[in-house]
Amino acid sequence: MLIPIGIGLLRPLISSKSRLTYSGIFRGFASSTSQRTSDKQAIKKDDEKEAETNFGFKYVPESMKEKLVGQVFTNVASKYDVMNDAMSLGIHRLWKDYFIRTMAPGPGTKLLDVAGGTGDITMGFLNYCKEIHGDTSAQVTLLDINPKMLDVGRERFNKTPYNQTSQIQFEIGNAENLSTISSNSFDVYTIAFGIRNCTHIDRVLSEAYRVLRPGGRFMCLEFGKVQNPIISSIYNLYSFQIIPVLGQVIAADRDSYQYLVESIQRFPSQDKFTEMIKDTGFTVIDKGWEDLTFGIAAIHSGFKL
Amino acid sequence: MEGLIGRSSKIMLQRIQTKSIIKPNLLNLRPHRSFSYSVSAKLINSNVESNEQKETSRIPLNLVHSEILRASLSFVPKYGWSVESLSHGANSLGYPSVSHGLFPRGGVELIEWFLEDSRRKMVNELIDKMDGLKIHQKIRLACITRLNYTKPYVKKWSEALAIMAQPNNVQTSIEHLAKLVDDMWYLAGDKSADVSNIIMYRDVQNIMDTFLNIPMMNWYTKRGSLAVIYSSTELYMTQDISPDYTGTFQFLDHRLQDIATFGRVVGEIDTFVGFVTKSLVGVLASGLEILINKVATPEL
Repeated sequence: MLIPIGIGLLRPLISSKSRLTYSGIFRGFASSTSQRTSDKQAIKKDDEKEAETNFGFKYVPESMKEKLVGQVFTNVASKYDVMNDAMSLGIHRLWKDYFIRTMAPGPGTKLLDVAGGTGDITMGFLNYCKEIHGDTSAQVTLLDINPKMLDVGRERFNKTPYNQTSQIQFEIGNAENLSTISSNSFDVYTIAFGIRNCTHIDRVLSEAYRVLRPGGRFMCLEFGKVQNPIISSIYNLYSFQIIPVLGQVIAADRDSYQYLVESIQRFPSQDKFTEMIKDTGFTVIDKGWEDLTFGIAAIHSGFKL
Repeated sequence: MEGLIGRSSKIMLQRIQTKSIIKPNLLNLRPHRSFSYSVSAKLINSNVESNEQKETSRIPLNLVHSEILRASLSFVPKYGWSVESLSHGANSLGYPSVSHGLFPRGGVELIEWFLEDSRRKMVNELIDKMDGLKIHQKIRLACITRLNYTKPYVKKWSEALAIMAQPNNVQTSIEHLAKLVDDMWYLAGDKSADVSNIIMYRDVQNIMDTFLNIPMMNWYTKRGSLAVIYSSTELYMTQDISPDYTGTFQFLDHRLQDIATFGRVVGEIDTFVGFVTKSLVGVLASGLEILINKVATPEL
């Protein structure tokens, strides 16, 4: 029992199979300093004009972030749901349930679930419509940039009664440029735990504004900043010490989960994000967000009016 | 004899007039107010103003709010004061049903808007009709006008009272009632804040008033007593099965007579205000009880 775990822990040092492969910039463990500096100089020439963005705690050229995030999610796709349960101790289900109840969709609502991935929100939405309203006319378009995540989602829905109905459409697309979606066509736009992975958040918000109908609601479930200092310190400890280890043990991929917790830190705080939502043109009610679990997660909401 | 009392009270009044008029500050209502109501803008972000140059065609949030709420009222008899009514109201205007999220507290926002809107309608309707009537007739007319607005929703009104009696909502519902009653007395020409005219009233007070040291007392008592009358009448109306609500109006008349004969027997302000508050809470709680009974025993 211990030997496989031991080998598992040593794996990143031994093989490079599951490691993200942007050479030079992104080597978590075993890169020599000379290699690093020479690569850095090479990169500096390339991207003198190109802006940099954050990828976890590292800075990468903007054009690379999408590809790197793509690699992260391709790696984690098969174990995504299991890892979510393990990391959040199942609380993410409560968050998503509350998210759908806050939305409280009526019959016949059309949902665009962006970065829907394995389809938690889609499933919750369809179940809500069926159970509360007895409604089977609700429509969902599940959009994700990563084909692997969509495949996992498709498999999951194939096991449910929904694969007989035409209520779900699966689409590959980039949240920053929803070219396949026409304007003013959806009632609700949701993006759950996806927006921090996007390179240009303002573009995502503008596209969301474009595809929503007047009166439509933008809802975003995302990790946030914890205000309470005691809980914040416990949370940080948990995030940085335990989650990557869990990632290594369960999914054999420490780096991806290191990226995850770092990206949470890099995402703007709740009030800054609300300002961005307002700047896009959404109408924001009251504070504009609701903290869940002391601010570990938050629901942001805006209306297109 | 009368002349003597009149003269001594006039001297008293001269002394009182030199003091500054104390304006009652309970619930921040001033006795003399203009009727320039501004639409509540507490929920609006400042985005509307900053984006005006970009999108002049965008409807201000105030209007959208009131439109949806007004449309939702027509669904109240069927779905009650709830998120469902708001969803249907939004749908009827062409907005998606999730627009009910504009009202995060749900049905209670509909009730509050209804109270505000009815009060404003009452004022607009009555502001010209008050000539030539005596004070008690004016009060009666104001009560009847206001009760008429509740008539379409009377079957669901006990539900509304129950929602308003919830601890979160009690404060705002009492504020609405206080504002309503304040407006009614204002329409009736109440000048009790103006001390120099205190001797003019004959309907509710007796001559003893002029010798009391609390000039604002009857401002409170008038409003307090009318609040109890109005809310108990409304509660009666939810159960009234008489044709054309004649029973309700008789009940109203009896209560108004009671107050007129009762007068100013209770002398201390805190006792009276305490009595009034307990009565109000009692009335709201009775509404809750009635609703529970209605739920337990099906209506005919």
